[in-house]
Amino acid sequence: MPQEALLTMIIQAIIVVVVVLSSFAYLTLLERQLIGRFQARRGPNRAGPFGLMQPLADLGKLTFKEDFVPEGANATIFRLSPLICVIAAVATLSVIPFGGVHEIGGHTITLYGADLSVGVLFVFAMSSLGFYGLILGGWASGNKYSLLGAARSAAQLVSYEVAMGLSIVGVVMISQSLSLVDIANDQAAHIWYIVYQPIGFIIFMIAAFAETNRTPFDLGEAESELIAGYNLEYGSVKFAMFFLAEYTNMIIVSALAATLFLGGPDGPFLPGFIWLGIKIAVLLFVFIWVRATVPRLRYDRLMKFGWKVLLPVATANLLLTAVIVGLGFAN
Amino acid sequence: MDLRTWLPILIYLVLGAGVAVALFSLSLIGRKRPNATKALPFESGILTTQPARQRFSIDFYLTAMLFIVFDIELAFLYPLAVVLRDVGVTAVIELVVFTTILVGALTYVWRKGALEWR
Repeated sequence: MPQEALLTMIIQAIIVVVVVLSSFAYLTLLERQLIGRFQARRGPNRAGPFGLMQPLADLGKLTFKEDFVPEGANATIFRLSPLICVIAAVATLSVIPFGGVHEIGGHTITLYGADLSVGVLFVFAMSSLGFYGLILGGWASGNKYSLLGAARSAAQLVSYEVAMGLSIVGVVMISQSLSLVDIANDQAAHIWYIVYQPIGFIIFMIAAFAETNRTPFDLGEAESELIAGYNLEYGSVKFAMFFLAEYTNMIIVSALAATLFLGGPDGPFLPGFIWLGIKIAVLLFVFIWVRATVPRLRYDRLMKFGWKVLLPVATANLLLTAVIVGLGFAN
Repeated sequence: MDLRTWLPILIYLVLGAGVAVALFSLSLIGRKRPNATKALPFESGILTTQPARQRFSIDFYLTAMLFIVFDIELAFLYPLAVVLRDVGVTAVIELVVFTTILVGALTYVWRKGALEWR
């Protein structure tokens, strides 16, 4: 393989990782600012203009905090699980299509990392690997709240994963491909899939809230009963690593929703990656908006909603799509 | 199968490991002053009476079992969904039969009360 191709791949990967990780830092600031505004108060505004240095200040503070392994913890797994979360989150970024293939100064630049024929399944596989970090972290802490939080998160994640998977099947039927690049291109050539799959999009977004452990489905870290859930015993930068993984997953799931339903990088006038950025930003705003608006569910209702409402609706949507697409009513 | 398409994933995995290890080494900077009280499991200041890893609700186990069943069915649906338009009516009939069995299983566990959270 030519060296230049390898080099552009590496540069693309570094740019994507740096951009996403810095958006993670500013996403935490944005969330705190917006939550502040929703609650009729100001968010963090002391570190730099508009609090723009706040993420750096947070990192500095967390770096100099003491990092210790509590008694009764399984030290090796306790130390390793945040690493699993971070690696899985970063690896998922490789299949997100941030744009198409461009020619810049005679060099061919692809704005996506890998065009896998099984892109959708790869995202699922990697996010499941991320759950391992979360569950092992909660188990290894040797704390009752952590263990309960981890068990709850695990049960919630697997329950909503089924509904999420079913909601994507409809998209796959229309696109006839599991590759995220093909799905994005097909939408650019025809029409955004949200037009064909409005119910699928709603199911996907609800499941996305549960998959990323966000309010109203943040039962794994319910402060009022579990203190903080699986990351309770974590301090210092290890806590920040769980945080990084959670927020990166939020960015990934927004990018996935934009790619599967909202046309990915498709849009007029502006370059593709800017359009994708706008769509991701809007979806992230919805995440924060919902957190500020909706109270947390009770755990039994959460499970009931996942299995008795979301799963049947997703199955009905799947059957309807299969009949319409398979019998050739939509061409 | 061209393994070259998987190369970016290797690059991202290495980058992810790099980020993770860099952050991990940052956590070594803070001053270490451990003591017995600090090492206790955090339970709002109340002394822990029993080990943390105890038996907990059977419902978690049931949910895991149900997940495996439905997730495998989901994995079978994906290839069928990809070829649905090419194969046409036959695929739709197969999918309807398959989903009917899935819905039957769901109805069974629902009626059995496996979806109730006690």
